[in-house]
Amino acid sequence: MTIYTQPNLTGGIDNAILDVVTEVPSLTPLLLLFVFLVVFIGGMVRQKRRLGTADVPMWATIASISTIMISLPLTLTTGLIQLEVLAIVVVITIFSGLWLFLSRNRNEI
Amino acid sequence: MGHIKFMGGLLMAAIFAIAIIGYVTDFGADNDVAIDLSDDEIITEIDASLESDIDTYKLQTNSSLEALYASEISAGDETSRTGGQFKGGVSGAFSAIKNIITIGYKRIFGQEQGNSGKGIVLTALISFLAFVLGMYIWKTWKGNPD
Repeated sequence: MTIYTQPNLTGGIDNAILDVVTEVPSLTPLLLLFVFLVVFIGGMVRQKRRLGTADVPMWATIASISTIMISLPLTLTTGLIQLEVLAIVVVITIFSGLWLFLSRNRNEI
Repeated sequence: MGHIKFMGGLLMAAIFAIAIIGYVTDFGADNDVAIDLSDDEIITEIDASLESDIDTYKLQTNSSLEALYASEISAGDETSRTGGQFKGGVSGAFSAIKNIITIGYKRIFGQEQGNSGKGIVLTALISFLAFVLGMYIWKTWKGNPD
Protein backbone atom coordinates (compact mmCIF):
# COMPACT_ATOMS: atom_id res chain seq x y z
CA MET A 1 0.00 0.00 0.00
CA THR A 2 1.33 3.40 -1.00
CA ILE A 3 0.49 6.68 0.69
CA TYR A 4 -0.18 8.38 -2.65
CA THR A 5 -0.16 7.52 -6.32
CA GLN A 6 3.38 7.31 -7.60
CA PRO A 7 4.25 9.93 -10.25
CA ASN A 8 4.90 8.78 -13.80
CA LEU A 9 8.63 9.35 -14.18
CA THR A 10 8.74 8.32 -17.83
CA GLY A 11 6.86 11.43 -18.99
CA GLY A 12 9.63 13.89 -18.15
CA ILE A 13 10.44 15.96 -15.08
CA ASP A 14 7.56 18.40 -15.76
CA ASN A 15 4.98 15.64 -15.63
CA ALA A 16 6.61 14.13 -12.54
CA ILE A 17 6.40 17.44 -10.66
CA LEU A 18 2.82 18.01 -11.81
CA ASP A 19 1.86 14.51 -10.65
CA VAL A 20 3.40 15.14 -7.23
CA VAL A 21 1.63 18.51 -6.86
CA THR A 22 -1.65 16.91 -7.91
CA GLU A 23 -1.29 14.26 -5.19
CA VAL A 24 0.12 16.65 -2.55
CA PRO A 25 -1.31 20.15 -3.19
CA SER A 26 0.53 21.63 -0.20
CA LEU A 27 3.90 21.01 -1.86
CA THR A 28 4.05 24.41 -3.58
CA PRO A 29 3.06 26.54 -0.55
CA LEU A 30 5.53 24.60 1.63
CA LEU A 31 8.29 25.07 -0.97
CA LEU A 32 7.63 28.82 -0.99
CA LEU A 33 7.53 28.89 2.83
CA PHE A 34 10.86 27.07 2.88
CA VAL A 35 12.46 29.64 0.55
CA PHE A 36 11.03 32.50 2.61
CA LEU A 37 12.26 31.12 5.94
CA VAL A 38 15.74 30.21 4.63
CA VAL A 39 16.33 33.74 3.37
CA PHE A 40 14.62 35.43 6.32
CA ILE A 41 16.18 33.49 9.20
CA GLY A 42 19.52 32.92 7.49
CA GLY A 43 20.02 36.56 6.58
CA MET A 44 18.82 37.79 9.95
CA VAL A 45 21.08 35.46 11.95
CA ARG A 46 24.08 36.22 9.75
CA GLN A 47 23.57 39.99 10.10
CA LYS A 48 23.16 39.68 13.84
CA ARG A 49 26.44 37.79 14.09
CA ARG A 50 28.27 40.37 12.00
CA LEU A 51 26.78 43.59 13.34
CA GLY A 52 25.19 42.66 16.65
CA THR A 53 21.72 43.72 15.47
CA ALA A 54 19.38 42.35 12.83
CA ASP A 55 17.22 44.50 10.56
CA VAL A 56 14.14 42.28 10.65
CA PRO A 57 11.84 44.31 8.33
CA MET A 58 14.54 44.50 5.67
CA TRP A 59 15.12 40.74 5.70
CA ALA A 60 11.36 40.12 5.62
CA THR A 61 11.14 42.25 2.48
CA ILE A 62 14.13 40.54 0.85
CA ALA A 63 12.73 37.09 1.70
CA SER A 64 9.32 38.07 0.29
CA ILE A 65 10.80 39.31 -2.97
CA SER A 66 12.87 36.09 -3.23
CA THR A 67 9.66 34.10 -2.78
CA ILE A 68 7.98 36.08 -5.57
CA MET A 69 10.96 35.35 -7.82
CA ILE A 70 10.44 31.61 -7.21
CA SER A 71 6.66 31.71 -7.56
CA LEU A 72 6.55 33.68 -10.84
CA PRO A 73 8.00 30.86 -13.04
CA LEU A 74 5.59 28.44 -11.37
CA THR A 75 2.68 30.43 -12.87
CA LEU A 76 3.75 29.44 -16.40
CA THR A 77 2.25 25.94 -16.06
CA THR A 78 -1.27 25.07 -15.04
CA GLY A 79 -1.49 23.21 -11.76
CA LEU A 80 1.84 24.09 -10.17
CA ILE A 81 0.55 27.04 -8.12
CA GLN A 82 -2.92 28.31 -7.26
CA LEU A 83 -4.04 31.89 -7.78
CA GLU A 84 -4.78 32.21 -4.06
CA VAL A 85 -1.22 31.24 -3.16
CA LEU A 86 0.22 33.77 -5.61
CA ALA A 87 -2.08 36.48 -4.21
CA ILE A 88 -1.02 35.69 -0.64
CA VAL A 89 2.68 35.86 -1.61
CA VAL A 90 2.09 39.28 -3.21
CA VAL A 91 0.15 40.51 -0.17
CA ILE A 92 2.87 39.35 2.25
CA THR A 93 5.46 41.16 0.12
CA ILE A 94 3.39 44.36 0.24
CA PHE A 95 3.02 44.04 4.02
CA SER A 96 6.75 43.47 4.42
CA GLY A 97 7.34 46.66 2.44
CA LEU A 98 4.85 48.53 4.63
CA TRP A 99 6.67 47.24 7.72
CA LEU A 100 10.04 48.23 6.27
CA PHE A 101 9.03 51.77 5.34
CA LEU A 102 7.29 52.42 8.65
CA SER A 103 9.98 50.77 10.80
CA ARG A 104 11.97 52.93 13.14
CA ASN A 105 15.15 50.86 12.88
CA ARG A 106 18.32 52.36 11.57
CA ASN A 107 17.90 50.98 8.07
CA GLU A 108 19.19 52.60 4.93
CA ILE A 109 15.78 53.64 3.62
CA MET B 1 10.85 59.53 12.89
CA GLY B 2 9.37 62.92 12.21
CA HIS B 3 6.41 64.10 10.23
CA ILE B 4 8.27 64.19 6.90
CA LYS B 5 9.74 60.70 7.36
CA PHE B 6 6.38 59.29 8.41
CA MET B 7 4.61 60.76 5.38
CA GLY B 8 7.51 59.59 3.20
CA GLY B 9 7.12 56.09 4.63
CA LEU B 10 3.40 56.05 3.85
CA LEU B 11 4.05 57.23 0.31
CA MET B 12 6.92 54.80 -0.33
CA ALA B 13 4.81 51.89 0.96
CA ALA B 14 2.03 52.80 -1.49
CA ILE B 15 4.46 53.08 -4.41
CA PHE B 16 6.09 49.78 -3.40
CA ALA B 17 2.70 48.06 -3.41
CA ILE B 18 1.86 49.45 -6.87
CA ALA B 19 5.28 48.38 -8.16
CA ILE B 20 4.99 44.79 -6.87
CA ILE B 21 1.45 44.32 -8.21
CA GLY B 22 2.44 45.89 -11.53
CA TYR B 23 5.53 43.67 -11.82
CA VAL B 24 3.61 40.44 -11.24
CA THR B 25 0.70 41.37 -13.54
CA ASP B 26 3.07 42.55 -16.28
CA PHE B 27 5.02 39.28 -15.98
CA GLY B 28 1.74 37.48 -16.53
CA ALA B 29 0.81 39.60 -19.54
CA ASP B 30 4.24 39.34 -21.17
CA ASN B 31 4.60 35.57 -20.79
CA ASP B 32 0.98 34.52 -21.29
CA VAL B 33 0.98 32.61 -18.01
CA ALA B 34 -1.58 30.05 -16.90
CA ILE B 35 -2.07 31.62 -13.46
CA ASP B 36 -2.47 35.39 -13.86
CA LEU B 37 -2.66 37.79 -10.93
CA SER B 38 -4.82 40.14 -13.00
CA ASP B 39 -7.58 37.51 -12.72
CA ASP B 40 -7.77 38.37 -9.02
CA GLU B 41 -10.46 41.04 -8.82
CA ILE B 42 -9.63 42.28 -5.33
CA ILE B 43 -5.96 42.95 -6.04
CA THR B 44 -6.57 44.70 -9.36
CA GLU B 45 -9.27 46.82 -7.71
CA ILE B 46 -6.93 47.79 -4.86
CA ASP B 47 -4.18 48.58 -7.38
CA ALA B 48 -6.46 51.06 -9.16
CA SER B 49 -7.45 52.58 -5.80
CA LEU B 50 -3.80 53.02 -4.82
CA GLU B 51 -3.03 54.87 -8.05
CA SER B 52 -6.06 57.09 -7.45
CA ASP B 53 -4.82 57.80 -3.91
CA ILE B 54 -1.42 58.86 -5.23
CA ASP B 55 -3.15 61.24 -7.67
CA THR B 56 -5.16 62.67 -4.78
CA TYR B 57 -1.95 63.08 -2.78
CA LYS B 58 -0.36 65.03 -5.64
CA LEU B 59 -3.34 67.38 -6.02
CA GLN B 60 -3.62 68.00 -2.27
CA THR B 61 0.09 68.65 -1.93
CA ASN B 62 0.11 71.11 -4.81
CA SER B 63 -2.88 73.07 -3.53
CA SER B 64 -1.53 73.08 0.03
CA LEU B 65 1.87 74.32 -1.12
CA GLU B 66 0.30 77.09 -3.20
CA ALA B 67 -1.71 78.20 -0.16
CA LEU B 68 1.46 78.16 1.92
CA TYR B 69 3.23 80.35 -0.66
CA ALA B 70 0.32 82.80 -0.62
CA SER B 71 0.32 83.06 3.18
CA GLU B 72 2.34 85.55 5.15
CA ILE B 73 3.62 85.83 8.70
CA SER B 74 3.16 89.11 10.53
CA ALA B 75 5.92 90.51 12.70
CA GLY B 76 5.75 89.17 16.23
CA ASP B 77 3.86 86.01 15.32
CA GLU B 78 5.11 83.07 17.34
CA THR B 79 3.18 80.30 15.66
CA SER B 80 0.59 79.79 12.95
CA ARG B 81 -3.03 79.96 14.05
CA THR B 82 -4.10 76.87 12.10
CA GLY B 83 -2.57 73.50 11.30
CA GLY B 84 -3.62 73.82 7.67
CA GLN B 85 -0.09 73.58 6.32
CA PHE B 86 0.17 70.02 7.64
CA LYS B 87 -2.92 68.72 5.88
CA GLY B 88 -1.28 68.55 2.46
CA GLY B 89 -1.43 64.99 1.17
CA VAL B 90 -2.38 63.46 4.49
CA SER B 91 -5.71 62.02 3.44
CA GLY B 92 -4.40 60.72 0.10
CA ALA B 93 -1.40 58.92 1.60
CA PHE B 94 -3.44 57.67 4.52
CA SER B 95 -6.13 56.31 2.22
CA ALA B 96 -3.40 54.39 0.38
CA ILE B 97 -2.32 52.73 3.63
CA LYS B 98 -5.93 51.89 4.38
CA ASN B 99 -6.18 50.19 1.00
CA ILE B 100 -2.97 48.22 1.62
CA ILE B 101 -4.25 46.97 4.96
CA THR B 102 -7.60 46.13 3.37
CA ILE B 103 -5.99 43.96 0.70
CA GLY B 104 -4.11 42.02 3.38
CA TYR B 105 -7.27 41.63 5.38
CA LYS B 106 -9.28 40.32 2.46
CA ARG B 107 -6.58 37.96 1.17
CA ILE B 108 -5.12 36.64 4.43
CA PHE B 109 -8.24 36.52 6.61
CA GLY B 110 -10.21 35.43 3.57
CA GLN B 111 -13.34 37.43 4.17
CA GLU B 112 -14.81 40.70 3.12
CA GLN B 113 -14.55 43.43 5.68
CA GLY B 114 -17.15 43.06 8.40
CA ASN B 115 -18.33 39.59 7.45
CA SER B 116 -15.92 37.47 9.48
CA GLY B 117 -16.11 39.28 12.79
CA LYS B 118 -12.44 40.20 12.57
CA GLY B 119 -12.98 43.75 11.34
CA ILE B 120 -11.60 44.89 14.68
CA VAL B 121 -8.10 44.00 13.40
CA LEU B 122 -8.42 46.43 10.51
CA THR B 123 -10.04 49.03 12.74
CA ALA B 124 -7.26 48.78 15.33
CA LEU B 125 -4.45 49.09 12.79
CA ILE B 126 -5.92 52.07 10.97
CA SER B 127 -6.91 53.79 14.22
CA PHE B 128 -3.39 53.41 15.59
CA LEU B 129 -1.87 54.82 12.40
CA ALA B 130 -4.29 57.76 12.56
CA PHE B 131 -3.32 58.34 16.20
CA VAL B 132 0.40 58.28 15.32
CA LEU B 133 -0.15 60.66 12.42
CA GLY B 134 -2.11 63.07 14.63
CA MET B 135 0.60 63.02 17.30
CA TYR B 136 3.31 63.70 14.71
CA ILE B 137 1.38 66.67 13.33
CA TRP B 138 0.79 68.06 16.82
CA LYS B 139 4.44 67.51 17.77
CA THR B 140 5.61 69.29 14.62
CA TRP B 141 3.25 72.18 15.15
CA LYS B 142 3.19 72.80 18.89
CA GLY B 143 6.12 70.85 20.35
CA ASN B 144 6.55 67.60 22.24
CA PRO B 145 3.11 66.20 23.23
CA ASP B 146 4.56 63.80 25.81
